Amino acid sequence: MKHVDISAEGPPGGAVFISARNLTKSFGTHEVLRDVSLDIRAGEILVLLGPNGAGKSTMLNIVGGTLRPSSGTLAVDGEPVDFEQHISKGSRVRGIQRVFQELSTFPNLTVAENLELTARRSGAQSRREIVRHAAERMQVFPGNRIDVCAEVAQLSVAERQMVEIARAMTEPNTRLVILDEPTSALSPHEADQLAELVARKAAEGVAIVYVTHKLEEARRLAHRVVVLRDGKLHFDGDGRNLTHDELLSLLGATVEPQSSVKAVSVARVSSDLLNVEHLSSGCLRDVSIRVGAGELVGIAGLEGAGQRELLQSIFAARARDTGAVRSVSDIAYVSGDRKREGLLPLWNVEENVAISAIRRFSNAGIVDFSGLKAKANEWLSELGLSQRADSLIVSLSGGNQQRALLGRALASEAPLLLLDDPTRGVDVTAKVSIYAILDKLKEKGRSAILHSTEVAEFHKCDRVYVMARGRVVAEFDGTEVTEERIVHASFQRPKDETPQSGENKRPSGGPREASLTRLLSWRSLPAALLMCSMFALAFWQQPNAFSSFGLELLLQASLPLAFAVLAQMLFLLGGDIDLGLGFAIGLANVLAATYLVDAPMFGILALSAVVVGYVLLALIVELLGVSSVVATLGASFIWLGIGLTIRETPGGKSPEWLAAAIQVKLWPLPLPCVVLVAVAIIGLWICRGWGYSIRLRAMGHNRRTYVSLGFSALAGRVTLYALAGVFAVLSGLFLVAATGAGNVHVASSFTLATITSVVVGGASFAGGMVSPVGAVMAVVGISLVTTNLTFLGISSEYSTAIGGLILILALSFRSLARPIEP
Amino acid sequence: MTQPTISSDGNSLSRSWTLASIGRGLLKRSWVGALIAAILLWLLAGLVTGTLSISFLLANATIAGFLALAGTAQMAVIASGPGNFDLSLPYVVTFGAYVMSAGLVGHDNIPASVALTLLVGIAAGVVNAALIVRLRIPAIVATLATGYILYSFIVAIQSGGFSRVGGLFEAALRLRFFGFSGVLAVAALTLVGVGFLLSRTVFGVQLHALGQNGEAARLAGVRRGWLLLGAFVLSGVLAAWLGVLLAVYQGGVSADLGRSYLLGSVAAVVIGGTRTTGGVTSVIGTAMGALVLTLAQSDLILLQFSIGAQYIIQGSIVLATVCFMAVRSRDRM
Repeated sequence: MKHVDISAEGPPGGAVFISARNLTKSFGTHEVLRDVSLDIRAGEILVLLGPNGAGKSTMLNIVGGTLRPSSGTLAVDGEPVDFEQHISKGSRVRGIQRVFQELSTFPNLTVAENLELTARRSGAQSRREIVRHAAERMQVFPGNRIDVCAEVAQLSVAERQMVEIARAMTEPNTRLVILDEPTSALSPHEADQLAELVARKAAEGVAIVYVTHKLEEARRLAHRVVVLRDGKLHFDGDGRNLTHDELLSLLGATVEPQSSVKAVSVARVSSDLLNVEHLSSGCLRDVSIRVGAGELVGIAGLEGAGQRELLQSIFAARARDTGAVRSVSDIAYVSGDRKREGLLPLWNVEENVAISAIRRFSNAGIVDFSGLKAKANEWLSELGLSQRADSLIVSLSGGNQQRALLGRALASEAPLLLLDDPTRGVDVTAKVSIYAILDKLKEKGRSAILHSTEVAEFHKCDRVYVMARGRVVAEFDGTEVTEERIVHASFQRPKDETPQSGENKRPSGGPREASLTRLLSWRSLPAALLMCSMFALAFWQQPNAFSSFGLELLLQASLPLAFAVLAQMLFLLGGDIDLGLGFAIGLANVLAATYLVDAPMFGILALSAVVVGYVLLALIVELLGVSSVVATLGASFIWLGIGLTIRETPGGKSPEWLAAAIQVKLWPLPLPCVVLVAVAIIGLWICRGWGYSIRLRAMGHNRRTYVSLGFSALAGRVTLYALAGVFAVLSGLFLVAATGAGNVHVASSFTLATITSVVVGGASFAGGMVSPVGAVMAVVGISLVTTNLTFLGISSEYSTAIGGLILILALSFRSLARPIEP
Repeated sequence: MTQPTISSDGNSLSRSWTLASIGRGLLKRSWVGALIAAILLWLLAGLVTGTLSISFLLANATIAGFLALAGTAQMAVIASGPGNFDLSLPYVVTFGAYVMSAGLVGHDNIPASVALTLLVGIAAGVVNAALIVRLRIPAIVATLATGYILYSFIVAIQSGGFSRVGGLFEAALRLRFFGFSGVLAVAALTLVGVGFLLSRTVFGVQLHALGQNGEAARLAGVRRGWLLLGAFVLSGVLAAWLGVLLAVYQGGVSADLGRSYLLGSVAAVVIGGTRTTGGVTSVIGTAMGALVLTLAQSDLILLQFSIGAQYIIQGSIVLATVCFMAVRSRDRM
């Protein structure tokens, strides 16, 4: 069957760009890639095919520089590659671009900013330039309706994928583009555009590696087809004349049905444990399945056809009747994604197993540990893991971890088990023992739904449903289950498929409705409403406040806080929080009042030391991974202590130039107005206008992706913290000018007040999403609350409660206005 | 489930289940550092004063008992998941103390006052959990907002008349038996109870699972919303109980009563060797952490350090501990 055709050097293949030799990769004892040699040539479209788990991703990860092989070599332009460098520096330097299935754009940035982020153009670009350039690059999809100024979070999955593709395709100096199932979310029209684009790029001499499950695409595009199976190179040859059936047979669809097919026909089901009827949600379309008592039901299909979503929906509806999903029993879930969805990493094996049975072994909420332990050990000995009961679960091999997690599901005694790819990444012996467990399970009359990426595993099943693109496209009885049939059905197109993507799903009412929608989704809306209503109330109470002097009085109090808010905003921009800000400002205030008059040079040095302190905090948070909450809380003790050491009781004086500075009259607007606007503009510049701001926001939102693009998170965090320190110092200076004295406690309420303002102003704790204008409006609004209370004759102490209520209201408003927060 | 071991009174409640020798070793190491630090600080005090005094240790333990209650409250929340902190804690303490001494249900009716105070704590926890689970507000902001609102209640109640809560309760708390105060005994008993709750009940065990890996815990059948409710109610009740004890023991209340417990509670948890990323609790570690902080402060006073220097040193201890633990856990990976 092995048919390696090296001689097929068709005309499109140019010089060899990447040449892989004898690549092997194993995880533990499990070999996922075995001795694969492959040349990737300039100007050639290489379509990489293979069933799930064939080693495609591993191969691409090695070429793309995110994984090092166990053995073998890689050469780029004939030069051997040092994997250490290939991985740390990133393959992007060599002109290798990847379009992932998991999207790697930053949802908090606009399309244009996402494109700009990786463009590596020198010098800061003007905003208009960035937008123009982005619109140009998006023209690879002619006639698309993507607004390059929209945040990626607002785009549909298809649109995000188009942005992702456009980014990879239009990056300068691209030599190789790896497309991993690029059309999974695209409409036929967009897929056609992509096909043209790919062909055009290849003609320009760019090498293309195209992974797909859609055979029609492979036939249309491929200059060359490479098939991987079981980690080995199964076929490598000219792809231009292959027929659909030939491709299917290369993929193993015509493999002789194995003799080991067991047509287990259980005693006919008496009652159904689970009924799913016409379930449509997320990517699922009209799914109906049933599971009887004692049945093992398989859910087959290509990766991402909706199997996982189906299992998750079933689990979420356990022991309930939600209409579409009706289950009569408790359900246990076993995930193959052990790290994310299975392991409780701090516990040993026994505890990991016992957790699911804990409710049964308890009396009035008190756990019967001896009974639980006995039960867990019973299952562990059945699984052959008795000796490892006391080991930490993370110290086990993947296969043993998976067995332990199966043990957990068995120990729950739920009659129905959901098995989500339970043999993912485990070696052959572990697989065999997992199959044995499944056999035992059936003997004991329990039911299970098995989703697997390995077709061979469905031989165990009594019935198999095959899913494709969110629908059930076939159902086979145990006797009919063959790999061939399953593979065949997986590649089917559902007959009633309607294009689900590509259409612009945003409401397209009239322009008035559109602007209303935009207003409602404006993150700073609560802050704006707050500020305006507070101004209105103040002017209504005290009409004479509507004057330059009146405004000055109204706004004076919010000045130092405004700078403090900028500092806190920078923390939230990086996804952190500063719980020591109030005392840091207090310290700056003490330093300024104590030294700036008598020893100005020393004073300036001391104030710079506060900024250095913030840089040290950045190092602790970034390099050691300490939570910013704990780090800044610890630092707050130190700020306070230094402040008290220098000046235990309030005192000192403000330098005259500083006191004079805040008395400046800037006709017609009072100084506070000007300063507040300036603060907002500075904030806006840091978040939007600066050459670095796109990167800072990207880092704040998703540090991992940011680092994987080859940027330094350390530099980013140090920048943010240092700037925050500068603003803390400025806030302290303003306080000296306003109060004429130094007092370390003067700003102790600022810590919480700044967090409130930044959050009400529109920041999200996800990081990378702050609104400086909103934050400044929130500061003004919140400090006017106090003023208004005084006007109304209510104790201003209640302003804190109102602050709390505003915070809750603003956040509830936002979660209602934007139900899906990214 | 390996966590937490409970008591300073040497009972062996949790031993039957703490099986793993490895786990136990790790666990031990996590608070043994704090224990050694406490002993060293006591010896240092002995060196300064010239006598190694048990009563000095017990006097510190009494103060540490209060801090340990706050620390344990914070720890329950920290254990429920990465990034979870209870910023409303100091306000619940203060408000609880005011409610206790305001005599809203009659000045002599101490049981009813205690019950009312604990109810306040429960209410705070319920509000926090509702904001987090229902409105999906991050814990740190939700508790901040609740704290604000409580602060205003404090202001409102402040102006009312207060009387010293006297009677048998005060006498019992102030009772001394060879330097061992009644209030220390009450605090210790409370800690034993919380330790039992966290280590021996379904709630406690599932809370540890949730904090380690929320998604895995959900798929193992743990109900996140209810557990978060439990964690925040536990925190609220403990904080209110601390308010009761402070009000009665100190015989007076001020609006600043709870302030130091925000930093203090987190510091006690950190110094006790509990990781702040969730899934771990150690009541004994937090108690040790509280003792270390209190002893450190007493020693610094004995050494005539200024108040400022005391804060600097405490802050440095906290930062050094988190950095040390971060480096160590990285090595283990």
